[in-house]
Parts: sequence; C-alpha cells; structure tokens
Amino acid sequence: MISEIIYFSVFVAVGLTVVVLMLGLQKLLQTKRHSDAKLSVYECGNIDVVSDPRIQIKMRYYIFGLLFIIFDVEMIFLFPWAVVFKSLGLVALIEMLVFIMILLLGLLYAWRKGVLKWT
Amino acid sequence: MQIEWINLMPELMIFGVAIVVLLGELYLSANAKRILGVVSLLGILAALFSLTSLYGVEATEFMDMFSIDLTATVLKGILLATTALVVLATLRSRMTIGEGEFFSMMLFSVLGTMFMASANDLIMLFIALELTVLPAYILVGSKKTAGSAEAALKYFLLGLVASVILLYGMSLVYGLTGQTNFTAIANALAGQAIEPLLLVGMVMIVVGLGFKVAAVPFHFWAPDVYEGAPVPVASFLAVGPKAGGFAALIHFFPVALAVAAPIWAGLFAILAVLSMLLGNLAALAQTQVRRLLGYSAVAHTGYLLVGLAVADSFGYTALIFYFLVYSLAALGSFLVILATTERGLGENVTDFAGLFKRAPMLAFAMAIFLFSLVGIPPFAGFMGKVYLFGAAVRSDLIWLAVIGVLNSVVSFGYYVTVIRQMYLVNPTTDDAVTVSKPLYLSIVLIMAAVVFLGVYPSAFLSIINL
Amino acid sequence: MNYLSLIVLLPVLSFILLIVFGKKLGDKAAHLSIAAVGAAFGLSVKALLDAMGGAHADLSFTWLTIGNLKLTFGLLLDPLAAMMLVVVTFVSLLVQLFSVGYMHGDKRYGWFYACLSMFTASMLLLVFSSNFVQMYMAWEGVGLFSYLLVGFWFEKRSASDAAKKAFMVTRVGDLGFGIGLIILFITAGTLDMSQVFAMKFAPETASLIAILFFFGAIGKSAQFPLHVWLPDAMEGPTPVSALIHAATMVAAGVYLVARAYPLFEQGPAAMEFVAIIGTITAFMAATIALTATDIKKILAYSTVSQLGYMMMGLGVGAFAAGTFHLMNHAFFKALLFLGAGSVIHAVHSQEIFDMGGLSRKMKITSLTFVIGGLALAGIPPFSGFWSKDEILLGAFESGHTAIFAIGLLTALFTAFYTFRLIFVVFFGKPRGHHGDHVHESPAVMAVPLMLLAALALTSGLLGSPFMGNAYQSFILGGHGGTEHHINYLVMGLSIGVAVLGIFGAWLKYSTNLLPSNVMSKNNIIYQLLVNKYYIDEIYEYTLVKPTHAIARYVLTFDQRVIDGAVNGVAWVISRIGGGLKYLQTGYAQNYALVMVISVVVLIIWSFRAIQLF
Repeated sequence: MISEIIYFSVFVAVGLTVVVLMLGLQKLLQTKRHSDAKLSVYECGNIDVVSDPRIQIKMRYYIFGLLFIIFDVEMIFLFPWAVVFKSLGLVALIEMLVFIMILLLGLLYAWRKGVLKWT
Repeated sequence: MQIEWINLMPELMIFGVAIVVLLGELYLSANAKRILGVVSLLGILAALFSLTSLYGVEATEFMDMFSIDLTATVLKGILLATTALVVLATLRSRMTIGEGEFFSMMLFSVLGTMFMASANDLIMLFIALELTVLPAYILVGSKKTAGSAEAALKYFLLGLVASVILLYGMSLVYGLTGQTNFTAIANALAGQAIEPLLLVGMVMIVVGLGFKVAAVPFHFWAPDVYEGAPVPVASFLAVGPKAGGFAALIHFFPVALAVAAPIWAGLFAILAVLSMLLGNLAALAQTQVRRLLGYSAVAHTGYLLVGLAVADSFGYTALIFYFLVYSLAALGSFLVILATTERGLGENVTDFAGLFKRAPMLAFAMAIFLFSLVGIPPFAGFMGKVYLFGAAVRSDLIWLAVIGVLNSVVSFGYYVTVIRQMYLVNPTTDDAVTVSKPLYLSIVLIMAAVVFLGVYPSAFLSIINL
Repeated sequence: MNYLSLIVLLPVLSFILLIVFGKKLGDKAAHLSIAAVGAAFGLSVKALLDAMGGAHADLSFTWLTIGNLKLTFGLLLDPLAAMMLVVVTFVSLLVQLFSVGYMHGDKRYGWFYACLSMFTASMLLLVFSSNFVQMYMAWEGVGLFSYLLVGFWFEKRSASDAAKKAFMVTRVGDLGFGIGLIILFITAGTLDMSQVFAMKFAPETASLIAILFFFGAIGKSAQFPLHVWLPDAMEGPTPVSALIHAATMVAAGVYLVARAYPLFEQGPAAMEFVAIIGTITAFMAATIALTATDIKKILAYSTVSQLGYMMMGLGVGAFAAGTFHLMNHAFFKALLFLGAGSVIHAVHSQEIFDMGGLSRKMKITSLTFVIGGLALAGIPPFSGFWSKDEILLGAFESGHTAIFAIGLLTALFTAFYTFRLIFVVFFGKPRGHHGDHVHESPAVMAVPLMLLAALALTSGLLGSPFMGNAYQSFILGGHGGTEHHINYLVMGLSIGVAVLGIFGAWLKYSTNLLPSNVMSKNNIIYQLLVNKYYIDEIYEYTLVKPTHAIARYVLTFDQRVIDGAVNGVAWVISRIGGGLKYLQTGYAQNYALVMVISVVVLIIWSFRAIQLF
C-alpha cells in the first residue's frame, strides 16, 4: 500500500515538474511581440469567430471530422479486443479484420467520391 | 462459442451483396452501373431462397443475442420479398443518387431490419434499429430538393430523439434487471411486483419503437417523409423500416415484459385508437396523394397495433398477416405513383384524373390496392382485417374492433376520391402513360398477390400456423 | 388425380394471358384459347375414362378457417361430373373453333376469347364443385361472364339491355339458391356435398331446401316464369348462344338439380314441383316457338322447352333420362345454333322468311342442320329420340299421366316448329334479297358443324337398348341402377307424334296443299303465342313499372334525408380532418416536444394502471 502511494506521488511530482518547467521556460525565453491577430479568439478551422453566427463553414470540415471519428471509434473497439485477443483466438482476428475492412471501405468510398480533395 | 453460419446465411448474403454493390458504385462506369440493380435483386432472391431452409428452425446465435424462430423467419421472408419487388420496380428508374448507393443503402437497411426481427437482446436490438434507420435517413435526403432535405432532416432529428428515449428506456430496464437478454430480463422480473421505474423504462421503449412504426403521437415525420422523399425511397419506407419496428415490438414485449402484459397491451390499445383516428381523419383533408398515403400509413399502424393490444399469439399472427397484406397494397400504390410521376404526372389527387383512360392497367391496379387498403372483399385487406379484428373480438376487445371497423368506413372516404378521379373524371390529355417493363411486372405481381391472398389467405396463414 | 385441377386451371391461365397480352396477340389470341380448352378437353376425356374405370375422386383443401367455420374447396369427380366435363369442354372447343371464322375481324377479338376462356373455366369449376359454396361462386362467375358475352356488342342498345335483363332475372333465382344454401348450412352444419348427401333430412326440410335450390335452376335454366331472359339474350354473338344458351350455362340449372338429386329425392314435394314447372315450361316454350320468325329466337324457345323436358324427366324420377337428354341436347342444340350462325353469317339476317332455298348453296350447313333437326324432333336413330323417349317413359311409368300427355303434345309441336324452320330456310324458293352472294362458310366453321352432326347422330345410341343402355348404367353407377325395359307403346307414340309434326310442317310450308286460312294469323291463340303469353308485358306492368315508381320515391327520400345525414356526417368529419392539419406545424422542435409530453402522459397512465396514484 505504502509503496503504491510513493509510486503515485513520484508520478504526480514528475508530472507537475514537467508542466512547471515547460511553462516557466517558455515564460523566460519568449520574445513579446503583440499583435491584434494574436489577441483574437481562435477556434479550430475558423478564423473569423466574432461575426454573424450563421456563417457558412466548408462541408469538408464535417466530412473530415466524421472520417476522423469513425477511426477514432474504431480505436475504442480495438483496445478491449487487444487485451483479450490471445484467449479469443483466430476467429476474433478474422472478425476484427472484417470490421476494419468495412471501415476501410468507408474511407475508400469517401476517397473515390473525391471528398478527400481539399479544393 | 460455436456459430452455425448456415443460420445466418440470409443476413450474410444481404451483407455481401450490399458491399459488392457499393464497390460496384465506386468502380463501374455509369452504364455498367445499371447492372447493380439486377445484382441486388439476385442477391435478395438468393437470400430469400436460403431463408426457406430456415423455415421451422429454432436456434439462437451470438450467445443468445440473435434468435431464429418462426415469427422472425416469416417476417424476414415478407421483408425480402417486398424489397425484391421494390428493387424490381426501380430497376429502370431514374436515380437521384448513384444506383450502387441507392441499392446498397436499401440493402443495409434491410440487413438492419433482419437483425431487428431476430434480435433477442437490447443491445442487438438497438444496433439493428440504428442500422435500419441510418440508411433510411440518407435515402430520404437523396434528392437535392428542399422538400427532400427537410424531410430527411426532420426524420433524422426526430429519429434521434426517439432513439435517445428508447436507449434511456433500455438502460432503465437494464438497471432494474441487470440483464440485456430478453429471456434473462423476463426471468429477472418473474414473480416480482412491478416497479414504477420499470414502467417508465417500458413506456420509453414503447415510444422509441412507436416512432419507428409511425404511431400517433410519434408519427409527425411520416407525412413529410412520404411526401418529400424520392418516390422509390417512399415505396421502400412503406415496407422496410416499419417491418423492423413491428418485428421488435412483437419480439420484445411478449417475451421480456410478459409480467406487465396488461399494461403495455393497454398502452398499445391507446396508441392504436389514436393512430387510427388521427391517421384517417387527417388523410381526409389531404389533396396530395403521397401525403394521403402517409396518413393512411399512420392509420394502418393503428390497425396493426390492435394485434399487439390483443397480446396473444392469435393477435401476433393476425398482425403479421395484416402487415404482409398492408405492405403489399401500400407498396403497390406507391409503385403506381412511381409509374405516373416518372412520366411527368403531378402528385395531387386531381392529377390522377382520367388515369383509367390513359393507363387502364395502372388505374385498375391502383383501384385494387386502394380497395385492399379499405378492406373490401375479395382483396387481401379484407381478410387481413377479418383476422385482426377477429382477434380483438376473441379477446373481448370488442370496442377496439368496432373503432377499427368504423375507421375503415371513414378511410373509404379518402381512398375513393382517388378512384373517383381515375375512373369518373375526364383527363386533360389523352396521352397514354407508358410504364417500364420491370415496374409493370412488379405491379402485376403485387396485384396478383393481393387478389390471391384475398381469395385464399390460408396459403399464407398455414405458413404461420394460424 | 392431380390433372383434374388442370382442367379448370388451363382456361384460367389462358384468360390471364389473354387479358395481359390480348391486344398484342391479335388474331393469335384464338390459338391460345383453343389450345387451352383443347388440352382441357383431352384431360376431361381422360377423366371420363377414369370415371368409367370406377375412379371417384374427391380432392379438397381447406380454403378458409374462421373460428369453427371451415370452408373447403375441392374437386369432385363422379360419372355425372365426368359426363358434364366432356360436354362442356367439347362444345366450348368447337364453339371457339367456329368463332375463329365468325368473329374474324372484330375489334375486341382478344377480349372475346378471354371471356370465353373464363366462362368455360367457371362452368368447369361449377361442374367440379365438391361443395355448394364453391358451386355458388362458380355459378355467379358463369353468370358474370355470360353477362359480358351477351353484352359483347355493348354499343348496340338492345345487346346491353339483354345482358342486363339476363343478369337481373337470373339473380332473382340466385337469391333463392343463396337462401337455400344458408338454410342447408344451418340444418346440416356443412355444405360439403358428400357429407350433405350422406345425411337424412325430414321430407319438409329437404323439400324446402330443394325448392329454394330449384329457384336458382329456374333462373339459370330459363324455366317458367323466369324464362324471359333467354330469347332476349340472343343478342349476343351466335357462337356465344351456342355455348351458353344451348350447351352449358342453361344446363347448369339442370345440372344443379341432378347434382343435388339425393336432396331432391328426400323431398317428394320438391320433385313434383320440378316436374310441374318443367312440364309447363316445355309446353309453353314449344308453343311460342311455333310462331316465332327469328331463327335464333326459335332455337332459344326450343332450348327453353327442351330444358323444361329435362326438368320434367328429373322431376318424375327419371334421373338418367334427364341427364342423358342434357348431354344429347347439348350436342344437337349447339349444332343447330352454330348452323344458324353459319346461315346468319351468309345471309346477314335472322328473319327466317328472308331466307329460303339455302340447301343448294350451303350443302354442309343444311345437311348438318337437318341432322340436328331430326335429333331435336325425336326421330330414331338420332340422339334426341332416345333420351326424349326415356323421359316420356319415366313420366308414363311413374303414373304422371297428365305430364306424359303434355309431353307428347310438346314433342308434336317440337317436330313441327323444327321442320317449319328447316323447310322455310333451306328449301323452297329463295326469298328476300340475299341473292347470289350466299356461300358456304369456311372450313373452320364447317368442321365443328360436321363433328357435332356426327355426335347428334350417334350420342343417343349410347343410351339405346342396342348398346345395352351403357349410358344409364354408367351414370347410375353411384345411385344403383334400375331394371330397364322397352315400352313399345310409349316408343311408338313418341315416334308417331314426331313424324306427324314433320308431316304437318311439310304440308303447311313446303306444299300448297293446305288452304291458307288454316292457322291464320288473326285468331286469339296466334296472338297469344306471338306475344309470348304476354309474360314480358305482365312483368312490365306488375314489377318493372311499380319498381320504377318506388325507386323514384326512394330516390327523393334518399337525396333529401339520407344523403343529407350522410353529407352532414362527412362534413363534420372532414372539418375535424381539416382541423388536424394544424397539429402538423412543420417545426421539428414542436414534434419533439409532443413526443416528450406524450412520454410523460403515458407514464402517468401506466402508473395509474398499477394503482400508484
């Protein structure tokens, strides 16, 4: 029990140290050159944030986002599978391959339909 | 865990064909894509054929998540047969999206419905349900018009709300019983007093599934979707997802919630009455044929729910029979609309004026389908209603049967306006309305089935052991 | 015995194909239909041979189960049905062949053959029926398709009127049949023929049901007083008359009585009733035929009269004789009708006094027509003689002396009007203006005539003593045959009156030996006959006109009161429907709100169900 607490504390200490070190070093080393662009609010993929809320956003963002989520979710399935993979045997391997193939087919579909081109 | 793959053959076939068709969409030239419809049709027929070998088989797969029994097999058969008719009818249709996309979405939706019919577990049920409706959302929105997009968006948003309610209900049931398997839930609940929280969960599941079958007051999407979706899609929606909803209803409630049977039977009776009344009355005021059929679909959900309100095996078999009968007639009438709209006719009731003179066969077929929907002998709808309301009377739900019959009388009022236009009003032009061969064949087949089942219902009833 | 169902299904298949592809097939429509009925005929012959070999099939399958009520559908093959099958398919085959020539160039050619096919199918189903419900349905099907065929040339007002009249009048009889079925079902609890016939009924019950059944037969077989539709129905194409009004549909009534004979036998009153109605019909129609001048009307009244004869035979208990006459009559009357069709085809008139001397131009037609006439008149060895003689014998031996006497008198008239027709049409000098363009009909029309003539010559011999009464022992197989003997007195009288009738016709119409004032047109009897006993007029004033008056009154009531009420209800309902539109706001958030609210309401409702509050 005690050893675990020590173990845990060491992790916390190292973590904190790293964070403090990083931020502190940056504070020490940075050069300060202010501009309007740096002070403005920033949101991923969208530069002009404070404006009419009904602004048009490129559909590509959503499609990329969706494709990303699909493979993100695939990861969630892969982790528990990987943990018990040994006990499940060959069938599980094939099933997972089928699963990945189906998802890949989705990617292939998006690719062939030309949605991966940005312009 | 040993899996009898043969028991999953129909599902695997549909899945395989759906993938192949989707790949075909990606790699075939525009001309070669025409073949994808034929491929889909052959795939469905092959699946139907392999399904016949499962007739009478009782088994469970995937650790009891997936059960095969007579009801599931028969429902899958109805689903595959009607889907085959839709595919046949749309072989030569102008598509709003690529052929491969259209047919593969339809096949994926069918696949989901097949799993719904066999689902024996809450999780399986939910996943199957989502697999059924997600392609349906896409199909509804596949036409690039405001109406189509509006319908798809409404269907999608409301569908999400329903799914959330359903999932919440399922989680409550799981929380109370610690089980997701239907039979395990029943075992956990057996011999105990009904907890209020169980009822909350139950009502939520009723609502979630009630949405999928368009029961009042969760029907709002139906008229918009039937009107706004491309016509081939609307004809598919009349059979596919609805079959899944009813399959889930007659699988989940009698098995898992047998203890609360009188309560959910009462709930379904309420929904049945509301659906019949609102569907039929609202249909009376419609001037657009597809909207009219949309409300008629709501009304027919009401009739079908009578089978669940009866809550015995007689009621369920009557429900399945009526579902077959209804889906044939509804599909047939949508296909007639498909045939006329493909030749540039409008969709208002008045656009059917004098169809008898311009396309006697189409008008005749439409009249038969509408008569069957009203329930006039010797068409199948009559026999369906006889068995359905007969089941209600048998269980002392005479008031429900009376409301059903009265509603059928009311429904005659709006179906007959269409027939009147077709036969008694003179057309504005005498141009013949031509129909593509596959669509014609499909309509004729459905017509033959509607008449045959009306004259000799035992042919089907003996299959479901009534 | 599965081929039996094919006999019915083949014409149905041909009907479906003709409906779908009729327009595309054009002239080939006939081939399809003829092939189907030809195959059905072949199978029917096989069925007959099987039946002669003692086969007795009763195939049935459950059609509908509603609670305790179980309705079956099935095919029953016994000697009677087998005989009838062959007659129906054979006559239908020949009529369809004949029509190839007769209907050539008609614009609804395909539809004509479609109707003929389905008519044949309905008739075969009727013959085959193993239960009365099925028979009733086929019975109505026969009525429907005969309506379509009689009114085939519906552009002609008289044709569509005749079709309507035929349909309405037979419906009166069908009502009786229907009520009879209901009573039978209530008393017997089943409508399956083999079960019903095995039961014992009280004589009163049996009589009641049998008489109600007989009402159906009165309508279909054009018996007095519902015979009025048949002469009018001659407006249809002549081959149709040959098929429907000679061989098949009108015979359906006789067949019904024969089929339900075990039931009739249990009701003595019903038997008497059948015999009396049959006798009245036979006599009355024969007398009307004496004065008719339209070739098809003469044959129509002759048919009515001969059907009466069959009923008479059945009524006096001569079962074999009645059905035997049914078969013989089917052949020779189809022959006469087709012959008449051939004549009309050539002359383009139906008035016999527009014709004359046709025997020189139309050798085959006239020869075959004379053979048919001899069969109808009852001259041995032609077929009509044997069965007619049997019927008279049956009446004589069962002690129905009056019926026997009227039967003889009818036979006299029959011979007279038949040969009046023959002498006027085929012999003597040409009349009218048909001139030289009269010609023999094409082979496709002549061959059926010759085949039927051969049968008119020989079919009677089957039941003659020369062949050991083969027909009777076959048909009675199921009923237990009776000892048969020849009564030379009856036979002599029968031949005597027939010869006398022919001689009279010869004197009057082929020679000038008789002074012209014999049978003048001014006496009351002639007027009575030429106006067909004023029966149509009686109906007009007692039924049609009052009905119209009542109908007008009811119409006003209906428009003012009933329609008002119905429209009121409809108005209210459509108001509600219109109001419901506002529920459909079109805003998805409203819909979602309604869904959530209903979840709450339904939860509260279900809580009440377990008495939570």
